[in-house]
Amino acid sequence: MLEEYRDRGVQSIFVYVREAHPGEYYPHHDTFERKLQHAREMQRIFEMRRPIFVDDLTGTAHRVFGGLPNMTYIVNNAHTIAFRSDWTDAPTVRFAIDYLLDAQERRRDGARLAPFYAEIMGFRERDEAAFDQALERNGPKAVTEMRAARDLWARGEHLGGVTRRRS
Amino acid sequence: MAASQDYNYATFPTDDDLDYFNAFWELLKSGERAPEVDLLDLVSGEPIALTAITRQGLTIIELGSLT
Repeated sequence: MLEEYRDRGVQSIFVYVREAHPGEYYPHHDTFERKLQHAREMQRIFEMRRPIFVDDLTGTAHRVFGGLPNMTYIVNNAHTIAFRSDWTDAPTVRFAIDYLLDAQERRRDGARLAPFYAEIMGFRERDEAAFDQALERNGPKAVTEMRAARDLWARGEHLGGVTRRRS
Repeated sequence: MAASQDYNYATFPTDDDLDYFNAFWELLKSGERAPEVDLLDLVSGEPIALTAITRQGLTIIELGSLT
């Protein structure tokens, strides 16, 4: 997707934060060096070409951006947030980028545009099989913990704000 | 170190009402200035301010991890 938009002045970066589902093979970060190792491993496994930046060990950046496991923000060159989502979904990001680029173009063409606040409820495809496969890569502990969490949530126990918002 | 251990949980928390998980809805909104934070460039090993990146143009920022 990046190549498609690069010529239009859009760049994409990845910020490496804490492990969401630590396991035996990729445990939680007890040192910054381990965090760097995991970031390099992610880059290798997924053959990522976009720049990767690593947050500090205490999650300073992650916390101020909201702390969820896989958020996306789009920030303009005035460092203003133009879009944010609590989960990363490529079609939704594309939708937002297209909208923002269109607004830029209309402005360049002389349209008088005033910013306003808007929200949408996004929809993403759920791929439980791929998710479970990723958990297996992390280690058996990650699989077991997620299974236990799903059982609890299915019974309506420990159903916190995040799950309620997503169910 | 305690802050680091607290943040980098070793066991996936089943109670997602943790402050860290609920902060998203309480913090930033579109239209607000993004936080000014420093990050480390994985390739160069050099620190960089997020503002130095975003001033180059519209920037998609994905936050996540391998797991």
